Amino acid sequence: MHGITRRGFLRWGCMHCALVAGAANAQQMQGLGDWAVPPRFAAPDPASDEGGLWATMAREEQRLRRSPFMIRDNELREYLQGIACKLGADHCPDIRVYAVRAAMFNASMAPNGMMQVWSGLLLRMENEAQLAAVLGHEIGHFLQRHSLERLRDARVRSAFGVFMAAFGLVGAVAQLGALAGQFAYSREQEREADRIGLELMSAAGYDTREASKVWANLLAEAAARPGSDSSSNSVLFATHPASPERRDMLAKLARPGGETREQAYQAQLRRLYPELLDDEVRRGQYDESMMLLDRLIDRQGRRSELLYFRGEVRRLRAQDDDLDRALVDLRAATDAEGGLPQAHRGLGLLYRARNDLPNARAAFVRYLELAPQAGDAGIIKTYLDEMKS
Amino acid sequence: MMRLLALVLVFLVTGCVTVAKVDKGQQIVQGRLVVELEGPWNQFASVGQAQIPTWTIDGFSVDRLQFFVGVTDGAVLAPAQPGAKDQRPLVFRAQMQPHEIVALYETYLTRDGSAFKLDRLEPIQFLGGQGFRFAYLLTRRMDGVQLSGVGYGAVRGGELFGIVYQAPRLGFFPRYSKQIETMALSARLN
Amino acid sequence: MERLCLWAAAKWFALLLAASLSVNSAYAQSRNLAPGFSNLPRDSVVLLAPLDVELFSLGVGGIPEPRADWTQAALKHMKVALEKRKQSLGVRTVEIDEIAADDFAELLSLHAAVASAISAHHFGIHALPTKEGQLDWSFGDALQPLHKHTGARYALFTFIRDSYASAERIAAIAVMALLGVGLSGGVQVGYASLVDLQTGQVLWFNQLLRGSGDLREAERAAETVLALLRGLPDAQ
Repeated sequence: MHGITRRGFLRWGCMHCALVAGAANAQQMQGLGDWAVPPRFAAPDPASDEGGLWATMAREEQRLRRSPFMIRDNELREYLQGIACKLGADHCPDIRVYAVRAAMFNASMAPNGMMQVWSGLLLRMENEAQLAAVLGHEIGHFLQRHSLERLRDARVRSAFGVFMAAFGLVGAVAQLGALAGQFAYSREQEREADRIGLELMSAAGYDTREASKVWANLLAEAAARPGSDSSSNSVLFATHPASPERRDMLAKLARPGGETREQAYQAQLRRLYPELLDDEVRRGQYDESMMLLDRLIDRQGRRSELLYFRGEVRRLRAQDDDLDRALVDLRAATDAEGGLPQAHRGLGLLYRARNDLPNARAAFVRYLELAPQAGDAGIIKTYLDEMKS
Repeated sequence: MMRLLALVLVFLVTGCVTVAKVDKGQQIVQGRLVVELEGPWNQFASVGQAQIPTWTIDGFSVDRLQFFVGVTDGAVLAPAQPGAKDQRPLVFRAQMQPHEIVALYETYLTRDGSAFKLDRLEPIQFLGGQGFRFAYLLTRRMDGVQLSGVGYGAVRGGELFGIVYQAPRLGFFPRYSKQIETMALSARLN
Repeated sequence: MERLCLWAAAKWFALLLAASLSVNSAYAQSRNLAPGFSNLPRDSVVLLAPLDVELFSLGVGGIPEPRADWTQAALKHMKVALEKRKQSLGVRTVEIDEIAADDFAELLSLHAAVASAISAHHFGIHALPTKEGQLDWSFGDALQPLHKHTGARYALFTFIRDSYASAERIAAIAVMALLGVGLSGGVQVGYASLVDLQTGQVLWFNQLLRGSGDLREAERAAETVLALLRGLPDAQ
């Protein structure tokens, strides 16, 4: 294994090994026959194809560590690493989790133990158990060495070669949709990873019923897009196409009991919300964003931040009764405890567009009072001055 | 290998590239925008990009100066990219407000997954009347380079006029920003 | 317009191949040197930036596939060759390890972007007229943190991407040759740049683009390093 990745991991990873000891519970592994977690992998012979793959992945990992798109929030990194460690049990020291700023639903695990979780996915998980379902699934692929199997298929390897050579794992956001399908796991591998993911979840004390909900939510969001074949249209889910079969299978295999750890998860996400929700809105896919925000508000209540972003999406989408509803959301975002300055700005822009000048003025004035140092204070003052004359 | 070649091949493939010199002194862009240049520039003259004259000092992977001259209502600034499922074409509308024009430009810059952060948006006198200036930081997705940008814009008679300069935030942008500011603030329409 | 472009591209490759094959001429040397720069002072301290090297195997369809074992070998051979060359150059070198390099990620990516520009515009046919044929690029004060951290006044950056035809590819090449179609057997693309970390000036730059060279073996890798550093003047 590449020396760097070991050292890099030890800098902040291994403290989580201690968590593993207490996490395993007494539930038996079911549904997978006599499958058991394989022993830790030895570093492969560098001359073998597996060794080559590890080393190539190590290079990508180095690029990722240097990328400005890797999220450097230490608290989040430790939190995610802790979950992966609970799930990975004995493999914990070999797993390194990286959160990446990219507004797509994606998580992946390379055969050398590098795991990526993209912010578009983090935004869509409702609790820690749902994230554990996804991470457990990826660890399942890792434990069964599925990517190696795939890459031994020469056709897949050449597609992979294009991908790696051209874009690497880090730079690929725009091209991901086009290329991801070419080296996707087989159906059998996906099913296997789903089952293993459930077992790992269960062993780590998570509520396995949450796994199915991940796909149910994805399907609902994909269906929100206008147009016929919604799931293939949305690049959001290009790497993890949602399917009703997987949702149903996971629901069937789930067992009651276990934790969801919703509070812990939401506490972590809330620190990232302004940035992540901003990225989401900027995708310009308002129907999908609406579905997501409705769900978040449903789960977490009418928090100002969420109301602000939903109001903004409505203001930008501007269809049917969007503008009326945007007003409601933005007003609520300003009334709620800790009203956001930018909600006042949003209101001002909305009122101004509707020619309701007194309300627009009041909203802009309030924005400038709350955020006098805002970057766009200058232009807002101009809008204000224009309305005075 | 491919990143280097890709950057280079972009010039070969996306319309044929010829690079022409723009002398210092007075220059008229697209027959309408008059600018006073302190020094010479290099102009990217290509078939596809005819609408948005693009200049550079050190090369297009480094810095870039773009001119938007008389963009009309309904004009497509950038088409939806082929194969990119999620995208709509970017269209300018004459009634757009400064913050909407900046949002449009932001979408143009972030289609490849690059990250945009607006630092400032304020009114200025530009092209002999009311206009706006904005400053931003762009993190380029492809190679992770952090770029600073400054833009100057105004809508005159329903048409958009703009000058935007972008260069690496370290070492390059600070070197040229004053020159750019002088040029933009003294620009006028024919 | 399409045919013109392909012709222009072909001309570019031909020019570059010719340039890389030609003997050291005064012209060739001056293209590599910044105006006013002739050599480093003896015993200058030069930072050897982490080598950015990757080797690929070309499959039948011409798609490159990364080969980590070849890359590891290439890195090993290049380090040996650079060590030898450094002695004849008359400079002292320092290095930063890959972990420390993480802290300078933005500077490394900035250098790569500028090097791309120099490759495309100084050595290609798309010259930037304002440069007037000179190697005239500077980072300003952007690289000073590297200077402060390492104590090195100068830095040498190297980049190579190299592809080699797989056995299947070679067979395909043979078949296609019989049909009168030329397929590429692999390309070696790279550059080396010498930068003054304090002033930011790019002092020396060399481009490599050829269909030959083999970094997988020690002797031939040494030849590649020589080709890469051709024209880098000895310190005086």
